[in-house]
Amino acid sequence: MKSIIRWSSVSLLSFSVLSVSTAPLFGQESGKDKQIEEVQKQIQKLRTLYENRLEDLEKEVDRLRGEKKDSSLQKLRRKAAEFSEKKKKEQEVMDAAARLTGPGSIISSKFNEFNPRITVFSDFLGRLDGRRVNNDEGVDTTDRFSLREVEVDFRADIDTYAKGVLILAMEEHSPNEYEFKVEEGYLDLHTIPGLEDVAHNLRFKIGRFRTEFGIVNILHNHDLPWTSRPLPVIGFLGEEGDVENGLGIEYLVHNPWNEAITFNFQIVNGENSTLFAGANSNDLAFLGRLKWHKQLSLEHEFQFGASAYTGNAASDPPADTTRLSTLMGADFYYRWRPEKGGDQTSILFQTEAYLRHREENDRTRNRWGFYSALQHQFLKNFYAGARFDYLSGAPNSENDWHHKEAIYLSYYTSEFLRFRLGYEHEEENNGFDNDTLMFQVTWVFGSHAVEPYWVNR
Amino acid sequence: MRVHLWFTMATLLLTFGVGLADERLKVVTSNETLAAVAREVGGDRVEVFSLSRGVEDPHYVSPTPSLMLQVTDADLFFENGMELECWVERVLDGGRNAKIRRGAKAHVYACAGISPLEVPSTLSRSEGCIHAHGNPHIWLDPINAKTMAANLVEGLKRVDPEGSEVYDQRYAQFRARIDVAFYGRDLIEVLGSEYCDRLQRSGGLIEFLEAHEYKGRSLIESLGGWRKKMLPLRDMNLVAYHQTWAYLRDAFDLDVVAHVEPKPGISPTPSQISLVRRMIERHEVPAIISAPYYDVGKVRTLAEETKTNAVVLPSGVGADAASVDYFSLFERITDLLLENARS
Ligand SMILES: [Zn+2]
Repeated sequence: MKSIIRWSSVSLLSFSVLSVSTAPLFGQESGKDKQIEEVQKQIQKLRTLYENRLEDLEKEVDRLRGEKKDSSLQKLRRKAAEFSEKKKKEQEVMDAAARLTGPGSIISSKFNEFNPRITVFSDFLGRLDGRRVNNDEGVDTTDRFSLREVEVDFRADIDTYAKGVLILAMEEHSPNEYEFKVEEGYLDLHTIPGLEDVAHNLRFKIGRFRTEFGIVNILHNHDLPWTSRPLPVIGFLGEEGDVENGLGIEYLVHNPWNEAITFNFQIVNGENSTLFAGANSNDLAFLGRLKWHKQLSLEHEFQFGASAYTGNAASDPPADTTRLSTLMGADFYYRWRPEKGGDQTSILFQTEAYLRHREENDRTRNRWGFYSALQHQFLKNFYAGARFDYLSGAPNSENDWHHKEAIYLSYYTSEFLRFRLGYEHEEENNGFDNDTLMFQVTWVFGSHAVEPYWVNR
Repeated sequence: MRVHLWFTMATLLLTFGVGLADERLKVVTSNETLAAVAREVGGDRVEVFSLSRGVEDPHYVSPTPSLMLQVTDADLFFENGMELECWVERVLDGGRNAKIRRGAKAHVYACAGISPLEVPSTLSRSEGCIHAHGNPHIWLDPINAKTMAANLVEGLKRVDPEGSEVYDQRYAQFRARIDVAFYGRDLIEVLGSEYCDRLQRSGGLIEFLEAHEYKGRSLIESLGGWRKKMLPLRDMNLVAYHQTWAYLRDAFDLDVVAHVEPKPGISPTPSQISLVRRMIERHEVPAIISAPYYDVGKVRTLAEETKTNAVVLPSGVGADAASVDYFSLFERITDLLLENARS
């Protein structure tokens, strides 16, 4: 095709050149040069004209060819689109059928998403004692089953700056008598309005919360890796640990070494009856905690912490005097999990030491205690643990001592159900001793997201 | 007086704490696969950190203070979403960096716009602990990687508008590389990326290619890349440990006939094991596949007993030494499957 066009245009061109060049033969002699010049110009003009035309035609041919090529490709692509639509529809029909035959048919409504996430924790305990035991109110609790505690945990975002947490607890404090209490209820202000850039490493807690002393005080009963709280925690902070109303600030300490160092400072009512003056106190207590967490590698991780908690120990001191009671603590944990199969096996060692310094009539009194615990995850869902507790100076005499040895075996069916067997031996130097066999079941249900609720798991 | 002292201390620490800004954008991701995607599209403009390692189960990572420290000064946070990472909320809470909170400008979900597989019709814990919003292991389909990268590019452009041109350009390169690696250059030239994806998503790519020709040549001959490499395993019956592989299965027309876990996140029970055994025998399953962080010992024993192969597949970038980026991950997965799963 292209060659035909080229050939015909060349012949056309030569014809015109011929006809133009014959013209001067009939013209005047004197104008000959001028005429030749004129003719040459015309030839040039014609040549340009035809060359342009030629180019246009060639372009046209290319376009037509391309169109032919495109149309077969387009057809193929159109077919591809139709085919995929058809396939998709077939798949949808099959999926719909599967859904109809599958369990249930309604996917959860989005409206629920504005409601708080609600989680219910239930903690059940059966115990078999070697001798008669009383609770702190003197009521006999020997050899019995107990739904020890039920906790309802509500949490939601309040706005872009804060989260709200409310944890209500029903606790069997004496056989078949339940006490209702607000275990925790606080505002977690994670972003400070207007100061996002300057103070973005600060976080505030306002309300009622478990104070940040050591590792285990902040844990709820159902989260503990054991059935009972360690003796020093009970001895210094109370049967249930320390829960207070107040304010807290947490600060992620920037440091040149880029280490994970966290500092906590809390101002709360000094109403802990074990450590301070109890519910009648009008004084505040101050708590500071510094901890350093280090992930050495995927396998090794540890944390060092130090805490101090100080307040007034006397509810009714002589005028203008306060009797300071200060609790100091040091804690450490180390966790190992292999790089491969890290959710199948792990080892955790954890220890906390406490020293209480208290001013009493004309003298000071020190009391100390510690616990150490080891836990081995030997199969994905099985954990074996052992703990040793020591507490100097039992409540009535500073020369007394009190210790406990405990072993536990925990089995998790899933993140939400745990069975635990425990054996505890307890001894005081006043001659009291007891052996207890424990069977504990803890279960969790609710709309919370899946997350490892069990600490130290 | 005492209060005074404490406050002075806190103020001092606070002043000390105002950090120095880095030139490059600090992108923190929840896992190494997302980090690999971020490096592809971010190039030299970003510095990427992953909160977990490829050998860890992406569902369960301890939200330690060290991880919280990582996100305090992040300029952008990139996570998978679909409840893959329930632990991230605690890390973000602890990191108290308002810029990257969920819903904020510098927070990106990789799963946006990806149609999920295996969405449960009812939400109940009796259906297993995880995967309530469908299967979240989306990165195991190369097509999804393109969407994940696109989501990240949007986020990067919001945080760093000056780099828009670079991100767009790098994203286009990444897309093109994925297309060629997955379908082969020839097929992309004929059908184009969009039509390849449409056919692939409908599950009918191979069927279509086999039935059509272009320029007198069957289209299947134009197929290349991983898709072609995996053709010998098409419709292969496999057993998997966890429901990790739904997207991989669909990407390569594989079949997973049973899972060792009875339900996602639930440990294998004796009855499930015996069911799996029967399925292996009935379907002549050539291999049991598992991610490295599951009970590989159990998988090996089961494979020995049923005379089949146990294949530990990298489930993401960094899950084994050879899977260093998104492309080597798929090279490795396809190599391992071809080596071990051919009956
Ligand atoms: Zn999963």
